[in-house]
Amino acid sequence: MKIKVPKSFDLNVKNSESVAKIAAAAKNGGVGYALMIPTIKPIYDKLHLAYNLKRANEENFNLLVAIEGIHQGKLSEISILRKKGARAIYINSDEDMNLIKRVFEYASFLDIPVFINANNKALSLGVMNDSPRAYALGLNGIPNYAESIEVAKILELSKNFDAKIVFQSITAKESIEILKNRPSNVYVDVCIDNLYFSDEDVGEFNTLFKTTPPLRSEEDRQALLNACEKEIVDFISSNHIAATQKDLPFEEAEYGISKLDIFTQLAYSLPLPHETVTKLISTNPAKLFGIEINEYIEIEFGEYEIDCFTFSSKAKNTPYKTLKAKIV
Amino acid sequence: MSKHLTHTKDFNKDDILRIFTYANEYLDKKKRDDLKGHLIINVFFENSTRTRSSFEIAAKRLGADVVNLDVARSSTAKGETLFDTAANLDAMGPSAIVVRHNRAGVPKILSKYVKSSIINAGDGAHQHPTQGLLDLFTLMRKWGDLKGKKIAIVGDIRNSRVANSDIELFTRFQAEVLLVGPPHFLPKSSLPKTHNLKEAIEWADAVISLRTQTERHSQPSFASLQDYAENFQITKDLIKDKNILIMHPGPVHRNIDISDEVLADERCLVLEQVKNGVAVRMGILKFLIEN
Repeated sequence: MKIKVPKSFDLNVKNSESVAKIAAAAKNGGVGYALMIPTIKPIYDKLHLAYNLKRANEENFNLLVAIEGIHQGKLSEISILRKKGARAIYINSDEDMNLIKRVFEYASFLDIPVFINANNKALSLGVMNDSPRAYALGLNGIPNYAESIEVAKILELSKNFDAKIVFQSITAKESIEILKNRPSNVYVDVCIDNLYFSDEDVGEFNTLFKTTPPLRSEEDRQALLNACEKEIVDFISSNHIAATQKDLPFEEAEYGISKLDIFTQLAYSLPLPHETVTKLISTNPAKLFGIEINEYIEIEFGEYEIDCFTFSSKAKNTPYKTLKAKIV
Repeated sequence: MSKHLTHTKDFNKDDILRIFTYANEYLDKKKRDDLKGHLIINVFFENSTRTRSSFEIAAKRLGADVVNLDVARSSTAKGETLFDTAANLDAMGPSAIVVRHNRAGVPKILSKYVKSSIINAGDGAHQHPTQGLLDLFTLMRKWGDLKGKKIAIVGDIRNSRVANSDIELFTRFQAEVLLVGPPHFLPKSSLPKTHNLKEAIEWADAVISLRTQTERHSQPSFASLQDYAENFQITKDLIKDKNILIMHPGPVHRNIDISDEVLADERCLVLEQVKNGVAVRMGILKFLIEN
């Protein structure tokens, strides 16, 4: 069976490798637009922003760049950066609440969405989900409430502003419960890894499954899939991180899962209706930015092996093994 | 059977009972030449006095050659991959490599890359299988069998590799296990738990007290050790004249984990554990190398 679908719009590609590599991997993965999230290297000033936009231009790639709204405890010059081409703001939820409020005010008058990393750092001193598996492995765990506490707090603040607020890579069922009845300016994004894997996949210290936010319990995974189906979730994104330092003790291994090269294929391999997938990876993200995707690809369904050595990403490793969809 | 001992689950019940048969013989402390001509490398990425000495004495009593590699800081922290570390050690031709590392899972990863047997001498908060086996051996020498016996484990269970190994072995040998400690130290586990040490002692046939792992806490969990001892120290007042065994993997925080008076009591098996440790480690070395 074959279907024709718009290229996807990946709202969460970390700046973990060169724009050239991201552009090439995105092409393989059927990604027409990507939003670069600045968690690996800082992007908070004109210089860093211009550098990434120039590289994207050279690669002829539709790269949107998010800037840090708060960098080292200070507000970034969001108005100037907006004019210079920044398309989104990225913040951690446990920054100074007054600064977060200022970011929301900026976002509403500049009409630029704010992407929230909902995570309480003080409660997150672990390397995987807080679970019996983490205990059996002797690893410190990150509890679900490290996320849901922050979701509840930021949601309350969001109700007072009309800025578009996106909760990025939500992992916990408790967060979904909180976000079920959110106002229309608040959006929910999930990372595709959390729809495929649970913390049990870490097995005996398999570092390919070490990522951030962490893989949660099977119950959380089911709750996220269910929320996608019911469209409580607005977006599925890749959270692509090109991590190469994996042959190390679990606690020292790099965080992240490489999959931009197979993102659209993975999304259409999910146990979700194809129309829902199209909405969550293409239509909804495009709408958020007022963009229309005019490029289409053809997807064929079957059983396909993944060969990560063909990835254009610098991270030629992935825990994904097979696909049910490929781009023709 | 497993060539390595990275986790207590690597050995089945028969393996363990065979090791204990050897260990019972080795309690005579006589020197033997069972492992003559074999090289054993002790590589300790984390400081240790008693476990390393115990392994060294065990290997020497069996006639093996022993080399101690002291690696104050993990070479993985200097950028060497675990594959390189393993390949380099293996190239020296040992029959067994005894590894301690502050990171969970390192012995397991090394075992994938080497021809020799890897013996885990403690990895982070993951496992300390030889301590688990010697604890089991000590209890079996007292009771013959663990079936139906009640064992309370007290202290920082969440951060204890000893607890992880003990729990796996004790439950496999059909003992009932109760976890005792403040919420700070109790893991996510399906085993019964309590904060009440008095009740736990009344219930138990044996108590394993653990050392509070202050070095494994990245954040303060108790205001002080004394503040912890207030509710979780094993004292004479608590054990009274009860028929009970008291154990501890050492080193003991005196008057924090266990009071001086209890340490001096004949029901306290701390030194017997150390003695048994050598014999059990001899049994493990013989079992892994000769098979």
